[in-house]
Amino acid sequence: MSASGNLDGPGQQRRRISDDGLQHERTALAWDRTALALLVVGALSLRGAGPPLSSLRHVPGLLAVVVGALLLWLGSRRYRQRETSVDSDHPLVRPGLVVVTGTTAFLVSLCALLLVLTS
Amino acid sequence: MGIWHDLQDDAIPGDPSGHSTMKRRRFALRPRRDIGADPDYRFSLANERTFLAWIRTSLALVAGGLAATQLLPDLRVGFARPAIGGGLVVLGTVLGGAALARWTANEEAMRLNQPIPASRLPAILAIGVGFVSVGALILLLLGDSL
Repeated sequence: MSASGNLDGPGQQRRRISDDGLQHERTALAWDRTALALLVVGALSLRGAGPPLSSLRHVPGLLAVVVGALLLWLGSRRYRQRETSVDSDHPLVRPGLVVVTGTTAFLVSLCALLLVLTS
Repeated sequence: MGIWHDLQDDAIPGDPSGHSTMKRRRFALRPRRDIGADPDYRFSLANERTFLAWIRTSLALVAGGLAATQLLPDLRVGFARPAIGGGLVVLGTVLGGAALARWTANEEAMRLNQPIPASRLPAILAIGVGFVSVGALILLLLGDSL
């Protein structure tokens, strides 16, 4: 049991936080910030591609917006669940989510480069 | 730095045969789980947050590049906007690709209880941002004097 779990008084067993150094909360917030950054890039990509929302030029912007929204939902969910559970000593690494995020960011950046150079 | 990287435990020094090279160099998007042991979860989370911080830096540069292209007023030098925007987006793209490779390399180093490999990313970021900033300043001054 972590030290922070003992901070609550004896009468306050209702909300037990077993999160040393608020690792889970910080990681959840980092995911949220990254998702918001991806949404901003998606919005700017869509804006740069022009109004009729149909051409191939809108694919990277839509990809960024969809993945950003997905991350906002998925990225922090597991940490928020674990934060209130007693056993936080589980491996929480999420290679799938990290790889999807990194690959999406890289692909969207490449397409943004094309967009900048052709505009 | 790259997604291709060596795994030191498999390395056979001085062996020129292609087979061993194929064995120890691999295309890795995610860290191997069959080597070493699971690190302390706090270290894994710290590595994950570091990756996310780099991705955000990359995305901020890309957003800045897109915004520069779309929103900057005419700078009189014709290629100013694509030059500034393109520079920022190139820098963001490089950092975004390298962030994933670095996360994988860090995770594997932690599994093997080895030191975190040195990274050129901070230097690339600092030099790149400095380069784009000085370039933007020169383009601004050039535009005024025309």
